[in-house]
Amino acid sequence: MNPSFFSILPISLCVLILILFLLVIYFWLTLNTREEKIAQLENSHKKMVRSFNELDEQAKLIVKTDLELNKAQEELDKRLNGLNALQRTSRQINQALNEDEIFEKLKNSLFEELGFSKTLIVVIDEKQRPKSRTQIGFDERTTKQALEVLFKDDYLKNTLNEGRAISSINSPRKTKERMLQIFDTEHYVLAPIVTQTGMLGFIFVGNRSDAPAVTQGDEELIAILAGQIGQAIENAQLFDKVFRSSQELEIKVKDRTKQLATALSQVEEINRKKTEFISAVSHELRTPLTSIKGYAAILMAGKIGDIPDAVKERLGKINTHSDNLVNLINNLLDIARIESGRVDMHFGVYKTKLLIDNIVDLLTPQVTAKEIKLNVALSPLIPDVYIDLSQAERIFINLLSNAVKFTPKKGTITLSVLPSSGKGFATFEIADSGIGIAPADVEKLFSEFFRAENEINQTVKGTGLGLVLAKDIVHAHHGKIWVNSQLGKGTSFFFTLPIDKGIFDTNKQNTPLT
Amino acid sequence: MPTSIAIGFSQAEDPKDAAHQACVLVKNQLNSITTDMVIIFASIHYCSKEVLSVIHTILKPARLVGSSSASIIFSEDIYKRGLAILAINSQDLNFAVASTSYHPGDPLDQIGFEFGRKINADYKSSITRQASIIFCDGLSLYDDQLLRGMKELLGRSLLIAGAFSCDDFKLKRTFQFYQQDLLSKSVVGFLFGSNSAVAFSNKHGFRPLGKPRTITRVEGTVIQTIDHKPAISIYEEFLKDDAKNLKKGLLKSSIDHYPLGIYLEDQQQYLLRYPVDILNDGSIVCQASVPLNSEVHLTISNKDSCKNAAAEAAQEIKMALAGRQPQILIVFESMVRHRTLSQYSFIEIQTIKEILGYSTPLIGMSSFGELCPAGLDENKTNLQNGSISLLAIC
Repeated sequence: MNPSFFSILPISLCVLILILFLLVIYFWLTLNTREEKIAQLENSHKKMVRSFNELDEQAKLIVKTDLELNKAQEELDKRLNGLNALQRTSRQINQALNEDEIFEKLKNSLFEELGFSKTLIVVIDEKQRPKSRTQIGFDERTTKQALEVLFKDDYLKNTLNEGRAISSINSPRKTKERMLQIFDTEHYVLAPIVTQTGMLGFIFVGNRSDAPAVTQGDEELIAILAGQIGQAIENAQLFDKVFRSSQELEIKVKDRTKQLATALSQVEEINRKKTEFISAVSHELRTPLTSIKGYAAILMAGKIGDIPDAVKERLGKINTHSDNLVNLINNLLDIARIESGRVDMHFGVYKTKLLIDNIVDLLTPQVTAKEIKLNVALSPLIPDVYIDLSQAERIFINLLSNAVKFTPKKGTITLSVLPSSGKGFATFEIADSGIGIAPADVEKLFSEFFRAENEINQTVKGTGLGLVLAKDIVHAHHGKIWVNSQLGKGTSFFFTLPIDKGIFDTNKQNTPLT
Repeated sequence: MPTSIAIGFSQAEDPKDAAHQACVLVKNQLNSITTDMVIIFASIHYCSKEVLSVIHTILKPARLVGSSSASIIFSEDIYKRGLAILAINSQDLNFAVASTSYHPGDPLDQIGFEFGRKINADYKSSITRQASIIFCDGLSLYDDQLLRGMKELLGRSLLIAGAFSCDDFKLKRTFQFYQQDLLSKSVVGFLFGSNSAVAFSNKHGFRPLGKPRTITRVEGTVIQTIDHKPAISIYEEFLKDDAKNLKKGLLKSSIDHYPLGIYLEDQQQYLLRYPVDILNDGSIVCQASVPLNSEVHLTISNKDSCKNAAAEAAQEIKMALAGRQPQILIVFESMVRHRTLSQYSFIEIQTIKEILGYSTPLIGMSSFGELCPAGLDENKTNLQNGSISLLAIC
């Protein structure tokens, strides 16, 4: 029997071979695992790199979105800040009352807030010369140079005259270069200050190249500011005009018042002299008139012999005319006395009803003769009046006599006391159904010697002093007198008389006796 | 004598009138002939020697510092223009002030050392110093060396915080107020000590965008390459067309919405950097240095994340004060953050008031960089961009 292969090898060799075999298997397995691990790690690394790159890309997207949002936010903030600053400034400049104040209130901080380092505000004066009102970042020399060049540039001049704003975002290249040359700014806005009368000047704002570019929003803000300045200047000019006019008017009013005061004093002086003259003349006339009347009466009585009837008739006329003349003179004297304040008024409290009854009794014959119906309307609550009785009676007699005179036969006259008569006064009305007064004559009724032109006045004689006397007596009672009349329908005279003594104290300083 | 704090503010057109009005307001509140400490925050329009002269005449301050700013922060509003005066009279609080001017190329550690020496010399009290608040010229590049120099004399554990002065976004000139002087290119500041509590917090609320990139070449404040490409490419990739005008409109364009966020491993937080310049080779110049090989992202925020950051800062202050009510709250908010938040910027102040109380007097300024202690390492101070800092003094 052949020995087996293993039996011929020493055991130790077999063990060695086995170990080697196992080692080979181990290394083979280990190598396989490492390669797998390396592959896995490589895979992980790739994944990580991809993740990082994706993260980077995501971050870039975030930044892009964030940038857009930031830009929008910045523009919005800028607009908001600009509008706030503009609102504050507008409020201040609109309160300014003159041009200098407007520009004083345009503080440098406004333009700083709007983000501009250079500002030039120019206003064209009355002589059409450009005048710098605000300059930031420009000195006198550069301003002068800039203005000279600017107003020689047809494009810029025309743009301003057309009321359009220009900025570095909408200017053609040549204009940009020109603006850089004139104002030494790369980013700018130039807006005209426009009023209703046309271009009044301009605002220039700008920054050098290292500043952020201007935006549409900046252009709009500066255009709004220019508009506000224009409006404020216009308001200030208007205010100035109104102020000057009011001052001129005040001076005129003062002059005129002075002239009127002088004229019034002259009129008063003339009136006083006229009153004195009438008073003097009346006195002088009354004495010989009394003699004429006396002699006429002696002749008529036949105390110095019989006189023929024809002579008696003539003497009767002399007597009548003399009486008329005496009445006229008496009226004139009364008016003169009242107007000069020389008449003694004896005020007292009188029963209104009693006063009216007396007047009615006195005038009854005349009323009856013309078959006129005289109505008296008196309330039982009518207050007492505080009057000079004899003078007040003359008011009633004059007005009622006139009413009788101008009321046709069978007409109506109503004397009434009105219930509402103003504080401290009673109002009386004497209304007739007479011929009435033409509107043009109503105004002249209370003038001395005025007599309305109508048939009655042509046939019935009168002095033209009765209403003047009535007016003066009413005024001496601190009352008022007025008239309503309709031609052909009748006339109503109204007057007030005091019911309270206190009214004289209240009106003492304000109302003269005439 | 308890501590008296008064705040005056004016927006009068004439700077001297404004100073007079603000001083009268302060004087009426303090009811005192002299003032221990005056801090001024003013927009550029009010930065003048005449303003200082009026303040000294009326308030007679023993010590005065201040800074120009793009806006003034109050509890009721934020103003782009104005002059604010914070005046303090106190026996509990002890103050010292100092200033040092510097020029480009000056060794900043020596400037810091000089500042430390001066402020130390002015601090006469034996009471422990609690913090120093400094105002630096925002248009000069910052280096940690400045703080290192200061801390050599003031001690590593002293809280040093502050703000970089700014102007009205013209980036032309900033001002620092120091006693009777109106300075530029200077560092001014005050140091105070008291037995009362002080708390400080700084947050930004920005979140990283996209995959992490690495700063592959940097020289001081200049990031030359990111992922071996010119640094500007990070913005070009994200902003596309908007990146074209980046150089032209730095801090005036879309770039200010996306500051660089540099992840600091040791502090476990993102340090924000606004590019202040872009060089012809595409390098980005930052206000302060950034570490090589650090992870960098573009960062983004919105009004909610900013509001949350302000809330976090206020909560930190509240926790640090452990129930004590601050007597005054000073806020330094990044001018760019303020501008990007625009009309929403006041919601941060609103949030702070909600947490720390409506009655606490609050005053602050917009800054072009905020100096604050680093997150995990309190001995280190960072320059942050785009953040909000709160300083509460009890």
